[in-house]
Amino acid sequence: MDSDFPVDGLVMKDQSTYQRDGSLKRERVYAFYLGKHGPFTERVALEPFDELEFGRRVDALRRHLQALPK
Amino acid sequence: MTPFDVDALVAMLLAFYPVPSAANLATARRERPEYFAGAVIISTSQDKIRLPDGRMWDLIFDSSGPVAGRRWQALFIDPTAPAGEADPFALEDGPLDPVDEDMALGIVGAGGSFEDLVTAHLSELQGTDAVLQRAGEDAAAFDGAARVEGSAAAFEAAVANHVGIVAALEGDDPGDLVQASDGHLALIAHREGDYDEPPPPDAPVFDPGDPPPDKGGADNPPPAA
Repeated sequence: MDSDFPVDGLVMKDQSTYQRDGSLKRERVYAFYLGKHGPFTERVALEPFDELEFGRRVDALRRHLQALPK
Repeated sequence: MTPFDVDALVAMLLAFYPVPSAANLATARRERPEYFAGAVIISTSQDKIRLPDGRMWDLIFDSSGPVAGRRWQALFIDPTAPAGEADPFALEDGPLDPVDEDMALGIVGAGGSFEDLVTAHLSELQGTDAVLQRAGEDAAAFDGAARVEGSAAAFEAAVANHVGIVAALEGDDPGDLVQASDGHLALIAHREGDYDEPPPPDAPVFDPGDPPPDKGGADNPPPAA
């Protein structure tokens, strides 16, 4: 399944945004392609940062891309 | 702005928003706007999106049905497709052209409509009823014939009066008056000569009295400023 939709053109960027209550939210933005589908943009929170979160999200996207009618 | 890929959008919706609903679509639009590439959610059921370039997709299958029956989908809405099914019994075009309903029919003459012509001439005849009635009355009420016949008597009386005046003038001899006036010439001193009567007394002259005493000032002081 990984060969069908390889992660392509990955760009990572850390950004901070102020929430409405004044707190600062820091997150990492991943922009990537899966095969020829994309671009996908996923934000993962940096505090607390989970390294596997991005992998889980990519797997979920891959699974449903496979399920889409061709 | 990221380019739009509808497959990525549907995969994201399937992965992270398992329950297809308009609310989840709005949540996805808020949390992951890059997938929408500037599209806005349209339609009353809030299940379709429209990109800035006008392309539209229907994203929820059977959005008005029960929740269990809904699916995320990417159905492209083609604006050029006919709205409904083609009519299988459509009539073919006939030889006639439809009438242009905006075209004005009829010829309007210089005098306007027939009603206008009749009304205009009727207005000229106003008041003629009274004229006709009065003319009939004069012919019926004329009694001048009797007046003409009755005037002969007045005429004869005038003639008689005139004859009387002429006779009186004939009989009036002013000879004695002429003779009396012949002697007046000697009584009137009519010879031309100098006026020798004494002159009449002068008329009284108005006396204004003594002038006021002179105080020594100028005769014509300048006017006040």
